This record gives sequence, structure tokens and C-alpha cells, in this order.
Amino acid sequence: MTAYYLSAIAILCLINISLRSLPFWLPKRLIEHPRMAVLSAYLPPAIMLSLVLYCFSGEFQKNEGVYPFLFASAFVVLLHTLKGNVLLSIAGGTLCYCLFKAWA
Amino acid sequence: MISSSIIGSARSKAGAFEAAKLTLPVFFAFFPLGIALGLLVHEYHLPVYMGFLMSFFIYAGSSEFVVASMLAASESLAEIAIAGLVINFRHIFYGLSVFDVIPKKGFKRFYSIATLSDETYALFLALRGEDRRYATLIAFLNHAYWFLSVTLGLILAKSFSLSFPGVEFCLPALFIVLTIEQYKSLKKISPFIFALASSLVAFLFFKEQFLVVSIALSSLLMLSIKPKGKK
Repeated sequence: MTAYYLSAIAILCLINISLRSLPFWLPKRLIEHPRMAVLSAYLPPAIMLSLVLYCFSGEFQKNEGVYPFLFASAFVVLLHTLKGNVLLSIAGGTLCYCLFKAWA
Repeated sequence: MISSSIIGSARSKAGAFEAAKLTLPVFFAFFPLGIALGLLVHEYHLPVYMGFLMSFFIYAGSSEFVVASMLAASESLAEIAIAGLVINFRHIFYGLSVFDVIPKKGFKRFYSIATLSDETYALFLALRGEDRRYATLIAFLNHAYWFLSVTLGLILAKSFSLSFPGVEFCLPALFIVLTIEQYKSLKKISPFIFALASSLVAFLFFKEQFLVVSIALSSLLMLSIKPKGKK
């Protein structure tokens, strides 16, 4: 288990440093290619939504009620659209989910 | 001679202090999230040292939360690596726009590049002229805030054997909020449609490799878009 954990850390550390230093090595032509510009603008939002759906898919594969999860998610969306405060939305949603779990 | 060097050092101290003040918002953003990550590591029954190692060596916000959950689910190293690669892919674009801010050589250069997180990148963009001397200091302070916040979360969870059933929801909550923030700044719906369609395919046919398949398909869809204007 320890080897598994430590390998994961080493691999991710290497990936991050490579990604962060790549623009200093790669030819500018490649990095400034118009298709890379599309990727840099569109990829982050798509990844974020994929991460949300990844959490949902994990939740749907568990054999527990998904309602606390769905309810708390809707609460986060509502809170964030109304108030727009990142930390408030995360804390509020998590609290809502914890209460739901404790009560269910 | 002496007095001028004293004035010089006083001025540079003031400059360093001004630069450090820039990092305060990052502190307030990192503090609660770092504590959440510390609590999450405990909640997932990962060893305490993983909290330290992740915050120090990975140091890339949302990917650490994902890695923690993937490790807890004993996903394969290859999948964890691909997830890390796609989630942090955006970092590949950061170096270019802060080229002149990064120190020119030595360990400072390596450190400033290796710790170029979203928040450090944002502050680097704001550095002008003389202030660029403090780039490494800023990178270090942000890194330290993150490490110490995660440590505090770990201590809280461990020493009071605090357990928060449900604290794992901070992960989806973080992603939902960041998705909304992404929409607010981009104001385009197409990347979300790509992600939705790709995720549906992934959910139906590749449930085990959901994240990797979904993001890979989205990227392929995006590469099929014709960039505006010729070069």
C-alpha cells in the first residue's frame, strides 16, 4: 500500500512539474498554435463539468440513496447563483449534505 | 555608502512586504480548502503523511482532491496519472504569459516554475516592474499557506479524532462552484455541451474509466473546432 501511495505522489509530482515547465522547452509555434488556444479556453470548463459528473456517476454506482447528494448539489447551485461567494457555497452545500446524512 | 545601503535594504524590505500583502487573498482562499483536504484525507483513511506529501509535492488544488478520492478507491496508478495529466493540463499555458516574471536562473527559477499553481499564476500576472523581484517569495508564501492549511486540517482530524460524515461532499461542491465560475468568465455553452455528451458516452460504455474517457472525448471534440482566423 505504501509503495502504491508513494508512487502516486512521485508520478503526479513529475507530471505537474513537466506540465508547468513544458512551455519553457516546447517551440513557441506549437504552444501558440490556434488550436491550442481553443483548447486552453474550452478545456478547463469542460473538465470542471466532467469532474462534477464524475462525482455524480460515483454516487449513482453506490447503493445508497442519491437524494441527499442531488439535494445538496442543487443547494450549492442555488447558493452560488444567488450569492456568488465560493467559500460560502462550498461550506453551505457541505453542511447541508452533512445534516441530510445525519438526519437520514 | 553605508547609509545608502541601509536605505536600499529598507526599501527592499518595504517592497517585499508589499509583495507579501498581495498573497493575503490567496491565504484566505487556501485556508478553508486546505483544512477541508486535511479532513478529507482522514475521512478516506489515507495515512497522515499522504496529506503532507500531496500538499507539498502535488500542490495543484482540485487534482489533489481527486487523487485522494481515487487513492481511497484503489484506482490504478495509470488512471490516477491520466486524471492528473488532464486535470492539470491547463498549467501548460501558464508559463508563456509569465515568462518575464520567472527568475532567470538557479533554484529560484526551478521553484517558481514547479510551484506555478493557478493562484500563483494569477499573482504573477499582476506583478509589474520592480515587484517581479519578489516572484519567488510570492510563490513560496502561497505554497506555504497551502501546506500549513492542510497540516492544520490533518491535526484537527487526527488529534480530536474528528470525523465528519459527509465532509466528502466538499469535493463535488468545489467542482460545481468552479463550473459556475467557468461559465461566468467564458459565457459560452459549447464546452459544457461537449462535456455533457462525452460524459454520457463514458457513463454508458466506460463506467470504470469515466473521467479519462470523458475528458479525452471532450478534447477530441474541441480539436475538431476550426480556430477563428488564420495564422
